[in-house]
Amino acid sequence: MRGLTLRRHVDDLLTAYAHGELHGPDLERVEEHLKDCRECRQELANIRSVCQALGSAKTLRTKDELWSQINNQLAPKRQRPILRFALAAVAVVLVAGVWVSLKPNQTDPVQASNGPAFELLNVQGPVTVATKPVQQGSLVRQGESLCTGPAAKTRIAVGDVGEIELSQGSELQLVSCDSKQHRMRLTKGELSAMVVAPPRFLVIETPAGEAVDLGCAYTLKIDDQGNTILHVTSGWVSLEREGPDGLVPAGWSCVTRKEQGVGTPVCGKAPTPVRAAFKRFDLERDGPALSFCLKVARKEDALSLWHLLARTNGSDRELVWQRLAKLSPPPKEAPKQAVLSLDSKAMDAWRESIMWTNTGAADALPFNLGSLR
Amino acid sequence: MAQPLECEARLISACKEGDRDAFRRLFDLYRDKVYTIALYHLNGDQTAAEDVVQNVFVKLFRTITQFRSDSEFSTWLYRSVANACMDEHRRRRRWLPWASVPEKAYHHELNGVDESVRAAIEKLSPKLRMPVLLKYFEEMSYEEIAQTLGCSMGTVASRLNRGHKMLAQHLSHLNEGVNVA
Repeated sequence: MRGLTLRRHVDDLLTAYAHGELHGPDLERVEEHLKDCRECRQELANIRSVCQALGSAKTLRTKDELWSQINNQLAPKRQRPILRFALAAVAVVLVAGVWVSLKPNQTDPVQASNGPAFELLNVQGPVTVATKPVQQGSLVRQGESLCTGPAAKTRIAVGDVGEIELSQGSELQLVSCDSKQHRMRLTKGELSAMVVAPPRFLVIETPAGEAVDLGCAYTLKIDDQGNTILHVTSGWVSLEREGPDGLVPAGWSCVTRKEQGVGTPVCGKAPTPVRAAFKRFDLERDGPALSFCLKVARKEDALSLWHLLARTNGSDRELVWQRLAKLSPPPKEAPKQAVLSLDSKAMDAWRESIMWTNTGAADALPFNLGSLR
Repeated sequence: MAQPLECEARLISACKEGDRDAFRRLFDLYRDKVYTIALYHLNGDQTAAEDVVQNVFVKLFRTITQFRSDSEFSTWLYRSVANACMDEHRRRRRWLPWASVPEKAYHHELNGVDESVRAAIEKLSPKLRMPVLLKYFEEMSYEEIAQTLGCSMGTVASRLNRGHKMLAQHLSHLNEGVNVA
């Protein structure tokens, strides 16, 4: 027995042992092994030194003024959750509207001699505007296209509320811009956008649909078939086209296909079978594909299932409702019949409930997105 | 982790009623720990860490009615902290190359062993870093860390073990003279 334990070191258990987290056979195995293995005893001593050093590390103090900054952001009175979300959303829209109207110079593009323009903050490799080579500091005017060559990239300022980085082999046209909305068209390639501005301030058109920023950072890529692949890294993005939209939170992805429209958003951490199931549904939209989605969906995929409600009809929608209700029970503001008829208030209420029980997605935006559409 | 639970429960109950003073006291209970974890996780970027603290507590105020007392409040809170830190880390990873390098706030506050620990923690990947921070700054058990990060206890044990091995390498100067028989 001792020979067997000696042959196999226990270094993978030593940290848990040092933390007092081992029990039963694992604990016995480690203690037995340590009696005869100097190497593991030395390893344990090293780990305990780390434990001691980390255990003595100081907790650092926050600034006292942080509370006043937080306090200023809190609502004045407690309201019922749905009402509170709605008021928060209205407040955001109002504040954003006032902000935009009072600070036009900060959100507006550069006023060039012949109309609004965006400045190129950085240029690496061959980059052109309206087919002419450009450098850092050059401007892109309304109607002009910005193109990056192979191994080139560039970064442009979106007023002073954000930036867009255009990857190699891409083409981005500045369609229109004013103090309320900037609209661009990505015809090929890939971009990364980060915008800290009122929702719907930046709209990127693609061959397959529109990506509408709801206060976020994301990447948008057009593949060889003209499909749009969205991955959100912060906040939310709404993918819009005829038919059901896609609301995509941080850490989630969504594909909009030219033929099938906006696909089903999927969690970036979802296992391969889950992602494959929703992709199959997006392509085939039939009963077997739906059954497979319902079978493999986990609690973490509730937002994906929520999207399927608007992508199914009749008895299929009822099947989605049953599975979703099991994974993430609907709040009382989302009665079954209202959901089955896709009542927007009921749908929004259920989606918010899903978001709050899935913390990773809830971090994306703490209020009612429905009011911002 | 070791807050006076009865007092904390009363505070949470008052917060659910919208009591702003109770929320201030709850903030005071956790503010430094949340800030420390965010600051260590975000490589000493004070502004980003303060943003995380703000976002976490604003969200907490808005969602505390959904907290059910059958689970640990700290687990619930630190899940939000971990997510906010990872979100900020993802954002920084994408945008920091274009931005200026932030000043590290804790350089001025630490020295000696603490500075070595900070530098060693900074070398860990975010996935290994957060369990280490929760273990030492929150004194969480493996089970609590697993609940906070939404993973298994085995994953927590594995990440902590890998983290400690890397930390032991980076802190090897502290082990000099530590020889076992």
